[in-house]
Amino acid sequence: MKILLVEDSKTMRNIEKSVLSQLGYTDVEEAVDGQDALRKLTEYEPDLLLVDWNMPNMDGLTFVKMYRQTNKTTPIIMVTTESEKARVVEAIKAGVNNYVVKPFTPDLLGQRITETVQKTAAV
Amino acid sequence: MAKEQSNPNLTVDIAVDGMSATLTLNVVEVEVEGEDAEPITAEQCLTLLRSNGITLSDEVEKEVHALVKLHVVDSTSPHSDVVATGTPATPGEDGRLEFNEGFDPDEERDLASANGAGADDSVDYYNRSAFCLVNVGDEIGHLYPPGEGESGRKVTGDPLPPIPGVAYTLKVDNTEIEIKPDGDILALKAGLLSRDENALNVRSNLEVPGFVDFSTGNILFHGDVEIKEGVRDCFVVDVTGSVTIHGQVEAATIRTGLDATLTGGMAAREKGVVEIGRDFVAHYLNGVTGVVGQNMTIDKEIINCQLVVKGMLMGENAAVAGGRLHVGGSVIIGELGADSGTPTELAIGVNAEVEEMDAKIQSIVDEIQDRTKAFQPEHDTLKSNERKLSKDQQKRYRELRTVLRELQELESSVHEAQEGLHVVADRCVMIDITVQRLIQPGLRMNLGEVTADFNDELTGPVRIYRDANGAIVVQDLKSGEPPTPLHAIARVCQVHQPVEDEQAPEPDSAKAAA
Repeated sequence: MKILLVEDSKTMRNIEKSVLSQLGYTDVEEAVDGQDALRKLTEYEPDLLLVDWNMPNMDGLTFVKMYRQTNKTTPIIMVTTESEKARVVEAIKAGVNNYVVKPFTPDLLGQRITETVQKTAAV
Repeated sequence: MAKEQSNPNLTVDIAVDGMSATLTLNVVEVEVEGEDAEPITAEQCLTLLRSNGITLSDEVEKEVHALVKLHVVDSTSPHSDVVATGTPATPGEDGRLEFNEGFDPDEERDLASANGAGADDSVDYYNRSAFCLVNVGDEIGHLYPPGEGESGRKVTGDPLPPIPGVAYTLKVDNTEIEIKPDGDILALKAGLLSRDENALNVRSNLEVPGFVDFSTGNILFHGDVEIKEGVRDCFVVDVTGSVTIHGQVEAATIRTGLDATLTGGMAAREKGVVEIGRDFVAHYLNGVTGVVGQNMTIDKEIINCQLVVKGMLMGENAAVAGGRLHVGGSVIIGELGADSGTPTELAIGVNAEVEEMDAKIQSIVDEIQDRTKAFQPEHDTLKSNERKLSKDQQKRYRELRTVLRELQELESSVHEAQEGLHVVADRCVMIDITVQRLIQPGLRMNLGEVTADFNDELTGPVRIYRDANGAIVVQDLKSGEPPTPLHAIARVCQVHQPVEDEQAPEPDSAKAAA
């Protein structure tokens, strides 16, 4: 499965990439913010997007709205914090399929990825 | 270092045993020249820890925040700290044995500090025991099972199994001690509680290394006792089995269910008592009162004692002087009587069956007397007001008079029967007395139906017995001459009927004068 990881912090990207690798997902592309992601998505078609919420230049919510306007149905998992959980509804309305709250365990992330992909495939 | 998450900025090391996690904040590399290095945040650290399976807690977050603070202050050097610590498993308490108060066989029981009876009236110094003695049913103690311990946790949350304690192994003989399912330990047998490492048992043998005195207290024991020294005044040795006492017994009480051996003799000063269930062996006895259930053997002397020996008395080298001996069986003794003329009495004839019958008859007599006592007061009251009695009272008075008369007659009959029994029993007394050396003047022999008073010295060895005709005779064992009637040697009287001049034949001159 190809995954695009949209996260401004390099440290976090490394951590998330490491976790994805533990889960068996080794084909991972990175984007540093929403704008960078939109750019990369013109050439790269992932099977799943893992998107952070707070990013400079273009935050996660804005990116999702703009991405969905391109009629892409690729499943999106929002990586959020405990304090941002209240805004998950807004994110789902914007087109996010699922969310995971950090810090997360590999098992939890794996679970979210599996259920998101399965649900999307069913639809 | 077991598991390490490699990352340019952050690393976490989980110890091999999973009991600690060390977070290292490295020097952050500047990616783009001229730009600041990306700051390391607590969120990143926590995400890294979580992604490595570390359980996050308030303590972990606190440690992480503290470490990040250090990094913020100085990001030019690495900062490392243990941010998560596991909880080790707690081993359970080992099983243990606890004795109830007074039942620890290893406990020092120091009675020697007692100042003697009367030093403290609230304490019975005689009845304190220096030994750990148990009775049937005594709750000796409790065997506590080992604790299960508490489980621990690794930093990843994986449980560490608890380490149970080690059970206490207690070996017991199931016929002596019971360990109940709830751990209570009971004595099934009376005796001396003894412990040998992990074995607990109840012994039927007690050894007293010294005297029986204030350092030991009275000895009340189920089993056999050996006393290496003696027994002091006023102490009691009461055992269900046999007792052996090597030293001198003073004015004490010796009670046994079986045998007693007093190799050091007993000087009881008319205050000591023996009640021996079976055989009694003593070096000497002085001033002792008591009963011996079977045979008695004496080495040296019996002086001023009041003793009943239901079996034989043996002491061919011993002397009996003063006091009264009542012997059921035969007697073999060295000397009888005291050369000072101190009255000495030897009674022969203790028949257990006769005694038992006698006791039963006596109990009937007692019951008759009790009933008489019950009716007598009412009878006497009615009698004193005889003239003023109502019809019912008169009737009652007549009834009581009849009952009391009948009871009186019954009591007389029973007394008569009892005396008849004594007569028959005395007639049947087996007489077999052998005196090896000497019978001193002043000796009285009760031989059932007759008593014989020896007023002259009689040199032994002699045997006194009942011949084929039933007559009591004295045989000189040295000379081999025919036996002589007892009445020719001692003054003989009938116990139940007075007999005159039966003792000595009339001289011929007296007969001729008549």
